[in-house]
Amino acid sequence: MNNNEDNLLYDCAENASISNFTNNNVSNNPILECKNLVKTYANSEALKGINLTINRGRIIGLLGPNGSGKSTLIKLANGLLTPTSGEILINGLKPGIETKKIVSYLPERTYLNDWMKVSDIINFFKDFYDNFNPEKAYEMLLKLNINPNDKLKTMSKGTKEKVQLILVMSREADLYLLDEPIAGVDPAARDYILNTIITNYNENATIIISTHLISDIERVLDDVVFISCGEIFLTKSVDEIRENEGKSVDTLFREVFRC
Amino acid sequence: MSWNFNDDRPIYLQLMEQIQLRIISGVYKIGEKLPSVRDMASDASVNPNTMQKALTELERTGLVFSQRTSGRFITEDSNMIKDIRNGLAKEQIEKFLYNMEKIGYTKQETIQLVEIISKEMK
Amino acid sequence: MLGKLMKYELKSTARILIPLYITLLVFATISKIFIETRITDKLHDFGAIPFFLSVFGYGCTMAAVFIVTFFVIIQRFYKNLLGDEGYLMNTLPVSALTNITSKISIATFWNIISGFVAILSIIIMAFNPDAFSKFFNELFRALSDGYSEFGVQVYIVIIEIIIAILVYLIKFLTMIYASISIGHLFNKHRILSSFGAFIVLNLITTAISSTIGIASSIAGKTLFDNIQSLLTIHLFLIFAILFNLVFFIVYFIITNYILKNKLNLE
Repeated sequence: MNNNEDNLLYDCAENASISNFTNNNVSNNPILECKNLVKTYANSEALKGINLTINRGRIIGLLGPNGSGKSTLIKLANGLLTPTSGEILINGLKPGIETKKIVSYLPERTYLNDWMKVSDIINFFKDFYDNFNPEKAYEMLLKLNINPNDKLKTMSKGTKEKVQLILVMSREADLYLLDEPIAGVDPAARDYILNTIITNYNENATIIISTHLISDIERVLDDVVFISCGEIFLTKSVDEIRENEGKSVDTLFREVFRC
Repeated sequence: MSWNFNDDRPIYLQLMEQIQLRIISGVYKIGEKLPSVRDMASDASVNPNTMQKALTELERTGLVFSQRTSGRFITEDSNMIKDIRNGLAKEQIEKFLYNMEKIGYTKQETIQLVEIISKEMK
Repeated sequence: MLGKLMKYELKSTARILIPLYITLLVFATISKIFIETRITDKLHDFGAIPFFLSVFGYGCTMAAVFIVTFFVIIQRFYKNLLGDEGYLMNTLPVSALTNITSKISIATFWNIISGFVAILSIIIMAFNPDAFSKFFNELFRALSDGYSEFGVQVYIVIIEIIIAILVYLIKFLTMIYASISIGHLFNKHRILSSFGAFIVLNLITTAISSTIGIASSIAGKTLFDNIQSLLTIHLFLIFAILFNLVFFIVYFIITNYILKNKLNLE
């Protein structure tokens, strides 16, 4: 099944299907573009000239070993780092206030103020982000049995991570950057999180997930980007890999990045 | 019925097979409206685009059709479903007979064994 | 956006500082009560203990007020913008400029409040109706004397003094922020580097101030000899204000540049 046929099929689908082409309200420009993106630190080259185009309506896995440049790429996308040379564009714009409005970022660490209650933080997000949906957040908290009146201080690390994820997914953003969203979480919550990602999907938004736990999320991904030593190694759809290589992305990853 | 996937084949192909199985076994009934793509994707824990692809492919086979505003429906054609069911059954039986041959039973012996054991199973 | 940031900044800091300030006033009041009722005399030896305790408590709390206020201001900048919380604050749709401004404004606010609270506590401790009315009478007389001699200028000078103190305050705060930001540029020993940067910046500021101070006093010696009009005091104050303003702007620019372009959260 090659890509031309895919496009044709999408075009012919009658209902308001998940398509990049039929819905006139959906913008067609790529949500993320990297052009010869280079980032060097004092003693190392984290990214050595990345070229990447990511379209809307995709769920992408950003996969690579430690130190490959994954976090650097994500931080460049949300404006926490500035490029040494080259360009990174979100929806055609350089990272700044306008892009931060449409990017929802889940870092690997706890970034919330400990003394606040969950409801305080929801108000915080509501204050600063126009596209934050508090009802959705409360609904998800209810499903995960988290009391909005609890202080973050009293929660376990796993619960705090769930709260952070809920906050991030309750924003109606154009680009979600999730750095290891399921790493520190128990398997039941893991399923819930993956489910949240699936149901939150909309054809205008893209979700980029950076993770080591590939086998768990493989089914949820459209495409994968393998990154290693600051360079893009591979960009393919999950289907292509399974068809052409006859193995799962997880297996391919282990082979490619064998120590 | 739960969704099971293995690692080496594209998921959309496996989805097609399992949706087909559900239609044939009556989990999704004839002429019935299928749940939305998003709900099905959520149920199977797969990417909605992948589920979309599987359903679109099934439309090509005619097992499923879509109506512009109402969604996707399972075919009313009970003969098609019967044919597919028979085709699957044939596949299973052929595979079974072949495997029994590998163990060392002739087709005759296999059929007798099937009768005996199925009586025991009741 | 700035208002919202300031709101949260206030909330985060008030929960530590307000109880502290109230404690100070409580200790002041208790000590004052002890003094007024002369409990020490009445209860002989044992009476002295609660009194000394409350005075001791007052002293410690007074020191704490300044130390903790200072510490909170530093920590808010360091932890909230450059620590883990930085992942949240620096991805909000606000500019680094807005973030810095919110921190400075609330920091200045608390500095002023802590000053007022300290003075209030002293007033409580030392309150004596006679001495107070005498003090205020003297004050008003001095002011009206000054007014009759120099006119409105007296009040202008007072305003200039207040502005000068404020500008000095924000200069000091931005110097701290700039030091912390410069320390952030280093990957290891960030705290140490911040201290180092602070010392260096302090040295530079003092060196420049002293040089200009000495130069202008030599140049203006004749002016200083003649305090007929308040002109010299005006000039001196305005010059001090502008001077510190320039430093403030420079430190602010340094902090903003680093936060905007050289951020490297771990």
